[in-house]
Amino acid sequence: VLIIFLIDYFGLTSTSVIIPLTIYSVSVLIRNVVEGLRAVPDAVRLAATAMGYTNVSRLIRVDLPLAVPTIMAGLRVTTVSNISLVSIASLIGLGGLGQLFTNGFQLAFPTEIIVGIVLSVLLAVAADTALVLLQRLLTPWERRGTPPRRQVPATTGVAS
Amino acid sequence: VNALHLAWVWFTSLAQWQGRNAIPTRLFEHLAYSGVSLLIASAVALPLGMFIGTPAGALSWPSTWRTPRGRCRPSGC
Repeated sequence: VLIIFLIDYFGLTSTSVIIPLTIYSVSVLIRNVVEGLRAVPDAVRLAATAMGYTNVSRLIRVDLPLAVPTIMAGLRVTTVSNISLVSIASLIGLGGLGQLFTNGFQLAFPTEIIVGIVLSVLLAVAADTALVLLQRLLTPWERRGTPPRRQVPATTGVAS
Repeated sequence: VNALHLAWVWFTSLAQWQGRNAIPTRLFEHLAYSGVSLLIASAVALPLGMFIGTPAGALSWPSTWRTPRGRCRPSGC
């Protein structure tokens, strides 16, 4: 809806599409950043401070890495919904895959609509997969899979 | 068969593969729009979220949006 108002200011340019999309994405993303940082245990925060981190360096080197899973979850939701929302750019004739929808409706030609849908889904899945891979890169300590088994001494010692 | 034929004609026509209305062009436009808006959104949301989310942040989250201490459980928050 915001697009319609922004046309008055920016005309039929990509700016009028990007601004509402950005606002929408920010509103989803910021919540996850905040929640992720809030979820960092106080003990961790205090320990980092005790080790001599200043507020800013602790935020960057301790809090932020721990919040990465939550932030990335938010980023994935944002990305996928963003990709689906770009389709409305075609309503003001600015292209994108939504153009395939509108053309297909105007020509009553379902093939074009289906192609648009399939490509949107593929794009969303590809972006999501890329983000999952990025998250695995960013949080190497969270690898699933069993860690290499340590050799347990055969003798049954006293369990402490 | 007719619909299949139409689809085949549509797919193989040059207009779908070259020029302003081509499918690859559309795909690229789509990617550009969401890419740009996501980049700007991250650039805005990350610092702002860091500012709000830390206890040291000067701004604080409106209290109604705040999650309660600890996690929500099936029995309630």
